[in-house]
Amino acid sequence: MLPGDRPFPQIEGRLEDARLLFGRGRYIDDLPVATGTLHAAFARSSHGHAKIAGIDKSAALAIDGVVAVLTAADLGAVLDPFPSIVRSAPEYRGIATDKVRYVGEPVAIVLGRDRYVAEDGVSALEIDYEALPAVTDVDAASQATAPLLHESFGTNIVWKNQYRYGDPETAFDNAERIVGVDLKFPKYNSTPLETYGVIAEYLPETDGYVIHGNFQGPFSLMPVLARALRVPDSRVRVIVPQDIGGSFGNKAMVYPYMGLIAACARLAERPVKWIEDRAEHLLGSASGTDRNSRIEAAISNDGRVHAIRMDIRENVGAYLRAPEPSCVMRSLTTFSGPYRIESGAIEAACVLTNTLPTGLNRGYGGQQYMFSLERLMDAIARETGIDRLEVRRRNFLKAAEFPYLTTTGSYYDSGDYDNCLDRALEHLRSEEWEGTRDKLRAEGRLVGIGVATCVHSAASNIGYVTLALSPEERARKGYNAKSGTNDFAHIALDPSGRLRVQIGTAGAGQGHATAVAQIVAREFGLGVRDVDVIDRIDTETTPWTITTGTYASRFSVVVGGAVQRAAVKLAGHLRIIASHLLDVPDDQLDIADGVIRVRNSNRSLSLRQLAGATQWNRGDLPDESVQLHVSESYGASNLRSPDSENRVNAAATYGFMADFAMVEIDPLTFVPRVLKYIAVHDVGVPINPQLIRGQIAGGIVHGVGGALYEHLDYDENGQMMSASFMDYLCPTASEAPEMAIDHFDTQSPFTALGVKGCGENSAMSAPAAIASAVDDALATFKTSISELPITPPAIWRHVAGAQ
Amino acid sequence: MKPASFKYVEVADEDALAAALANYGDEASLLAGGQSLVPMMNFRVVSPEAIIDLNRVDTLSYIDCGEDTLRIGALARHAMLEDSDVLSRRCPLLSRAVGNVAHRAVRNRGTTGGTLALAYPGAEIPLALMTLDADVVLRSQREERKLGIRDFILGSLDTALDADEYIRHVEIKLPPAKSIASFVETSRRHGDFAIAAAAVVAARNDDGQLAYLRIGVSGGTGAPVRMAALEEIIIGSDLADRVIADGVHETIDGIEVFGDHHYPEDFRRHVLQGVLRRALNEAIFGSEHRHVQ
Repeated sequence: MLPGDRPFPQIEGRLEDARLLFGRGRYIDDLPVATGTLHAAFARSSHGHAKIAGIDKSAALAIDGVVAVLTAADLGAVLDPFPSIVRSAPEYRGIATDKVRYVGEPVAIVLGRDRYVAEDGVSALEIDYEALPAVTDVDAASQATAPLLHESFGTNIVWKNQYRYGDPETAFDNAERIVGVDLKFPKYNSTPLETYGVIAEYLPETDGYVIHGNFQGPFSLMPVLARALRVPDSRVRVIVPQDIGGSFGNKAMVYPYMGLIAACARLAERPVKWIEDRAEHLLGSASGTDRNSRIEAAISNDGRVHAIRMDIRENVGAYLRAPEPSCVMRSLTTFSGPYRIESGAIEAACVLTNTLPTGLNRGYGGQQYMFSLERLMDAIARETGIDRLEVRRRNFLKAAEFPYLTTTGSYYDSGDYDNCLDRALEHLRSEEWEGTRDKLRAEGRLVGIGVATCVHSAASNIGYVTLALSPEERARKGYNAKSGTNDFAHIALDPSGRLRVQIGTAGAGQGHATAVAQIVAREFGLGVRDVDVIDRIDTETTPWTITTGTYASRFSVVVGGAVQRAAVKLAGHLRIIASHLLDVPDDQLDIADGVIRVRNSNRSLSLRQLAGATQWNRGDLPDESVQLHVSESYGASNLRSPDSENRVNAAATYGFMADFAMVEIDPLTFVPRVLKYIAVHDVGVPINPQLIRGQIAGGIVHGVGGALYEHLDYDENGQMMSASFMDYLCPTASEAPEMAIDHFDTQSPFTALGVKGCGENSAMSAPAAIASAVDDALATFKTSISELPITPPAIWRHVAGAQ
Repeated sequence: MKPASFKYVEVADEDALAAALANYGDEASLLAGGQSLVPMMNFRVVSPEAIIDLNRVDTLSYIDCGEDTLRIGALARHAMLEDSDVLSRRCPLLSRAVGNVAHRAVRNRGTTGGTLALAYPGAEIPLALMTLDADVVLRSQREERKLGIRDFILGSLDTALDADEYIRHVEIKLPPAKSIASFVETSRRHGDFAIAAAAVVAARNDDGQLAYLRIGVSGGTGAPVRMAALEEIIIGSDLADRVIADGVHETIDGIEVFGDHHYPEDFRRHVLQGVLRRALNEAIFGSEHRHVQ
């Protein structure tokens, strides 16, 4: 059996567990700091929109222990605005200049001998605000009469674009029916356990910076940081701590703080440390976008969808900052989801409002678009009278059609949506969901079952970011195209014969080291614990690319692919060495159980012997190059830059999710609860079922949060109404439903391991499945959920409105 | 979220406590469980000059159940109430109420005196005490005095506690031996403060007639409200469903309810009626009200 045909060796638990569970993780706050390091605290705006009339630092500076108070004016000496993908976008500096534009926006930074005294300094600052009218709703902000966030820009619509695929006009003209829904998707966050942290130092001898930050990538943001700091890319050394306590996309946007703290360190001529606290995190980190949209389908009476029209109004907060407007790209590139929809017309606009600026949020536009598409499918079912599952099946791509090129250029690698849905239905039947629902309804309870079937694009093609530009802009002379996703892995046999792998993922507890050890162990026939894995990013010493990082569920595809390549290559090198030592051709050698054996013989060499001979007795080996270590890179296939019709393959792989949710609503209090959840997903090839289960379970609960509980809620004055965990409600263990998690995998023909990426999964599909279930629970009221979160007052209005 | 600096004073007995309070007055906050005070200090919502830590004052930590009076010391932890057998037999409303207070870890620290002194609008123990018409005993270096709970809790986060006073204990006239208690609360998640809560204690006489009824509600009402008028309507009636429903509707309409950004007034009123009806059904008829599992 070839190594690639063997199953991945498994262990119970993870290699990382011993250090993480016994309190020996090394997070950014655990790092030792140099003597003289100052601690930063931010003064943040208490207004949603206001002019800064003046900042009086004197009382703050008079406090013993406060060393400096820095505002945008001070930092401007060493820090420029952070460049945006959209060249003409209003300036973003990470700190307010003449105006504040959202509650929580940094206004000043106090540096003190410890965080306590720095906060005393913040309390002592006298900041004069002149309040301005605020706007927080995306449609209100688009009006010509809306308060302008950036006067010189002239409008709050900071970016817009149109996309047309196939022939939507004809499809809509000829449609037997047009079904449309208006939807609102809310603004919420990922709430990782660990908040942002930065420790920065300026090196005058090289005019460079050393910045420790719990940054998850994408490293395409590194040039953005370097440009703002006015130094070449090579002069910003970024070190990611060994452990990050959760990220979920959120820690992509720590980069502005890395810039601010680094600039403080330069001006103060001392290292500066900042650990974000929870209050700051809710107000001032980043969130997913909220979106108002209208989506319409041109259908036949049998429910088949021929075209989609979509109008997206996306709230990116008070500033458009890189990598936005990428938030809308999944809605373009995979607008057809798992369905055969050959035409589409999409208009997308990003609008500025007096709310927290946005960024990646576990799904990064996935949950917004899946909510739209799946609500639309349920609406089609309602209006045609066709069963919700049947409508989906009639539109599903069939297994025989893969690989399938969609009208947007997305190249779906593999899939078997019908059978995956069938597997989910098996769980539904064996757990007697429908019987349970009927029984509870007979007792007078409001119970519903909902469904969502979605495609999960993973390992994104950086080229999709350039869909923000028009084809004309991309065709201009001097424009540099973007495409691909790739990463490195390094593997070595150390002098004692032990395998060591080096990767740089900026992981946040997903178990990357374990998965990598499994890939390598499989290649050499070893146990998982026989392989050491170092996952570390120091941009000075770790090979990295501008796509490096943990996002878009890319790890298993890209890093896994690099590790597989490196392992195979190293095995090849070891066979060459062994062939000399054993005096047989290298194609007669097999590696299994960590030993190199001559086929059909009992002659063998252990890895230890081989390593020893190569290290200690190198001279006796022939002059051919002898490699005990290998660096390999892996770039996903089929990823080009967008063409002149805005077509691009959005991602390296396309998984699938079939989700069911059962929801109960208390008829007297209108409190909704997700009772049960079924998730049957296609991840291509599962490297580690435990890790996958953990990701999906976490995603389900995150999706429950988005559907029912979590909401970064601003009033019409831009005041944050959920500024602490009293009001920003994360689901706890008590709110988690019973979960049945299973697989129906179809290998990817395009990836090194056949894997498809897993991580964002049900965080994207659960809001749609839960809305679908609430519709079913409230079926007698003939109402439909079009807005999240589904709160008790919202449910009451649906019910009361129907009566 | 670091607090401003403060003086820390630890007291070991009630005399030292009273003296410290007399000394600092409204410049000091009392630290018992700290479950509300400490977060408020970390947010710098409050920044007292001094903290008087009374956790060692053992004489304030007790549950004393007599023939017809129950005394609970101010420092009695919620967990102590939750685990108390005698309380579950003699005053079941308190037992049922306390299980709704946050999570067990919080109940290990939080105290009766602490929750009463804060008078947070969604709090369960103040609602139970208001329903039972408890008395609150307050002490300072000047004097000891007893206030009815209606004169102690003045509104949301507002009590009659003077700056130099501490709560000694609460006194409850026990309900009849065979009373049934119901505490129904609705919240977004398990353990959250109540959106609406209702507390009912009912007892029938030997002829099976409803002879004792105490009703209280909270959630958007400011202070918890004792629904004395509804008690009268129901006790004097034939307990028909219509009578109770109309009575609930009329009396809830008659109390002051505050809406906010998250829960508008009309929604709160509607849900108050719902939880109250559920609690009344359970206490008066012993019906198994099924709550969402």
